Amino acid sequence: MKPLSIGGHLGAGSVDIVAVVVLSAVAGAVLCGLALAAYRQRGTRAYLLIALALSALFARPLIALLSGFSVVSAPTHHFLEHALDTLFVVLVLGAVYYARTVEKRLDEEGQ
Amino acid sequence: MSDTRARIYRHIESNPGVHFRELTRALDLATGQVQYHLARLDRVNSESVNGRTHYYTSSFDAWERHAIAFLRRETARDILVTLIERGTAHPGEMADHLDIARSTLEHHLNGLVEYDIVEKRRDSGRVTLALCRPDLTVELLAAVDPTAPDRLSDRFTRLLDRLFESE
Repeated sequence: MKPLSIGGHLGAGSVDIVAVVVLSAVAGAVLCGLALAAYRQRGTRAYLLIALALSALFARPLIALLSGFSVVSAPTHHFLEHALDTLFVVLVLGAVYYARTVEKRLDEEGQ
Repeated sequence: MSDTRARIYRHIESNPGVHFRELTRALDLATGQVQYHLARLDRVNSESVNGRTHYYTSSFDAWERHAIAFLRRETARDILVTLIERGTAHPGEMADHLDIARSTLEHHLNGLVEYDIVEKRRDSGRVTLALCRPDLTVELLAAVDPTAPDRLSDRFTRLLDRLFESE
């Protein structure tokens, strides 16, 4: 069976994948900036973990660009993408776990 | 006064409480250039509120400078507008009315109370929120508006507050 295939490799100079990666990098940077600002305002662990998780998400298009310029090999790119996915999930789970401390702090204030 | 310095002054004059980065962006100047001229503009005051530095012309006193900094933040502005409309409100009502998490409200109230913009009146164990200087707050409300990046940042933090607070 022929595998499903759309788009192309960054290195091969296909325009659609370049556009998607660049858009992803820009949008990721904005989201990452918002999360860092939220962490700076609240300063708790849950907000830090969300900021780190979104940084991992932002790192994905950067790795793709490095792969496009042949700085990292295709298998390394592939491995790093999946590693970053895993890191993202773990960090979000961590944030969910530590969200509890936000509630606890409010309880202590007698709110 | 150099031309650049005059431009910086005029921008601060028409945008009271402007952030440093907004200045560099709006006037298309380098960070060092803006720093250099700000240090030499003696008719400009700066105020740091919650870790962000705002710039003002000397026509505003300290209370007004703080109030303007809060009026540039969407949620704090919403809290102040609600108090202008209603006169007073209980924190629970306020959080419901603005549809924000209680922690979001308390975070903003900490700053507003610290700088004497909002007061917490306690009678028989119940807290009532009220403006310390309602007339002046209304006047300043018209002078400033939150910028798009400020609004975006405020909304994202609100979203996280709510996610972390829900059961």
